[in-house]
Amino acid sequence: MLRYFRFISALAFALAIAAWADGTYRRSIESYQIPDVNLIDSSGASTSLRAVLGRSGPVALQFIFTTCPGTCPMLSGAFAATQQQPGLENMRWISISIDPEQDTPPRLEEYARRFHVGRNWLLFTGISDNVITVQKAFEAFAGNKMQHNPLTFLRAKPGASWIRIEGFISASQLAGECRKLVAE
Amino acid sequence: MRNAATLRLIGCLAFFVVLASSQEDSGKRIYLTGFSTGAARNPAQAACVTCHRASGMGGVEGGVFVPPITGRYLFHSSPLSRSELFSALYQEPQPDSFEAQLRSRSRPAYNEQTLRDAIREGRDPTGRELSRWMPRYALSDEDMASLSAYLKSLSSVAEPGVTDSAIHFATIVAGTVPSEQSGAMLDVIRAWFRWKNADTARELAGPLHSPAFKDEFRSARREWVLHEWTLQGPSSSWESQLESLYQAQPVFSIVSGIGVSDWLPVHNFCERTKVPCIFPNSNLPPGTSHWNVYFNQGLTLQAQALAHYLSSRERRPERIVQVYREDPPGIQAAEAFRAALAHQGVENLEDRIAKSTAPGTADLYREVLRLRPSALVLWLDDPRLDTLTAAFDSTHPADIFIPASLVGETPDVPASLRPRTFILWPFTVPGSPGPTSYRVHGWLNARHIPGRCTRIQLDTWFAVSRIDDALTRMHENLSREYLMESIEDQTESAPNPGVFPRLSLGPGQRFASKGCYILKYASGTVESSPSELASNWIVP
Repeated sequence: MLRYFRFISALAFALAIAAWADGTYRRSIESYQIPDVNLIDSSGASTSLRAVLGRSGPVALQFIFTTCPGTCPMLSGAFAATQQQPGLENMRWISISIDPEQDTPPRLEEYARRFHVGRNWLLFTGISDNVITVQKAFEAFAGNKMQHNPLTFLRAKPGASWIRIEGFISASQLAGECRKLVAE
Repeated sequence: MRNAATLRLIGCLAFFVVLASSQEDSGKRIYLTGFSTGAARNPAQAACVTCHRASGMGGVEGGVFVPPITGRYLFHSSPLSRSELFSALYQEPQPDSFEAQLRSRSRPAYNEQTLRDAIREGRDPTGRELSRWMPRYALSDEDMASLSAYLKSLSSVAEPGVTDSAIHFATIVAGTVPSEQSGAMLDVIRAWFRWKNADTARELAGPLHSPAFKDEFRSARREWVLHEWTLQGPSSSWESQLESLYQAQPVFSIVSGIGVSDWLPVHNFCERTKVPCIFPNSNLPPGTSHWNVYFNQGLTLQAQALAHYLSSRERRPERIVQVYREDPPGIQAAEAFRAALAHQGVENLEDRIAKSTAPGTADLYREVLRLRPSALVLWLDDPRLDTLTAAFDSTHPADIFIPASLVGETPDVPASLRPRTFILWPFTVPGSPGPTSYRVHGWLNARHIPGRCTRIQLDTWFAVSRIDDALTRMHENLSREYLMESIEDQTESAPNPGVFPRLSLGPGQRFASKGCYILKYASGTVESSPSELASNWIVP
């Protein structure tokens, strides 16, 4: 029961923070080579990361883990508050767990329920080495998940550059960034 | 008359004690849930525990410094001591805004009024605005008083087993354990304590005012005192034995420990008395825990991995038979296997109980093989596979599965059975020990500790090193919750001696390694050890 309360308050906090607090973040344009690895989605199906990112529409990507106390609820809170916004129906939201052995597909399902994940938001886990490869490809590997930095990656279409956002981005800021992508 | 006055005084004191206690309880509720008893819920109100953790000590996460908010910190000025500066500079990950954050750690003490301002309006005692990630709470005066009372109590009292000059630990040998195994564990712990105390004595004997930072940590240095608790008799009596031992000498934490026949009483004791038990050598951890942290989920993990492996095979086995003894390891493994198979939709499992004495094994195996199993699982520490050879039907061969954690690294498998034998292996692939194992072997050699029961030596080294590292980071904040949180946070970046391919924890996680291989014997060789992978790393 206590855990439930903690969680509800954490989620409410994440959504509320994501909704109102404009963050200061660092934005840069980067080029990343997407590795040819498979990840596992929340239904347990194995999927090629290149295929997931190869879709024609815009993509937003974050690295999270489900037992993360503060950082990840804020990151996922920004996705949760933005995913249903008008004009962003074509966005694909992707969260990749950086604690893949703990975050099995059923745990990802549970996390998805917590954040009211919509049909355009996909969560992935995978073999540890593959997940590390993906993090390294995005220059996001911290060695210890407890020391990971808050990062959000945005890309308008396959082949386009990535926008790397370091720091906590608010829902309104994220929506603004995404609308620019959609307009490209 | 005097008696009446005394009674009134006692009554008044009791009233204030009860009042303070209920105020703390109410504050605890706000701290843990984000909600007060009477107030309407504000969805923006996060629980303090979300970021400041159960210890109140906060930490650094995602580049955000979450300050400690226990009474000891809040109601005292924070001049940024050299010891904290050292922590910040060398022990914490440093975000971009690091220097600005570091300056903001210095502030005068809070009082009730400035704490109200901080929580309601987000201002610290200097008038600086707090981080925007710190929510602003519209708490009533009553709730503020409750929360303040709880924060004052949080991590405020010296934990049992800690004095100004010493910190007491225990390690546990639970029931009958081969002396080779318990000795392997004790060798490592004793050596670590001996060297730790020699180091502490040297540091404390040095002159004060040294330019070295170590002076700043003098007050945090204590003698480490080890108590070796040996539990005897039936495991049903272990909890009361532990109770007596703890009453006689409370300890701050249990360091490692070893148990072969049972572990649940030790686990339950630690949960009940809120004593951390850090990485014991046990195959028998229960499913949930707060104060016990394990390397992996032992036989339960191996049973779940095997169920996953069998149900994922192209051709599922037509009949599975499991053999076990009616003792805690046997029952735990057999129940976990049955449940995991059922979860995978496999129901064709039959049980056979082995007698506690080995001579019955040959008869039992003949009976088992008459069932014509396609998979035979032996949850036995001494499976006596030589007796299985005679009864083995080569026209209807079964695949045999045995857990390495029960039978050891080189199980005695007759050559004729090796092509059909699989080993459940929740460890690193044989032959790839990893660089840190050499470092640990060097550490053992330097202390003249003979190599024996390698896995136990390496695992025990890891357990003690985790506690040492955590205490170094904790300085004088010797709270058991903070110990658990420090171990949760740091395990993933700790040197891994290589028994397990990865060791990683996170908030609330209690099993550091989460998978299992299934090994087989290399075909066409006369190897006596299993060396080929029959499966990938299975994380059930």
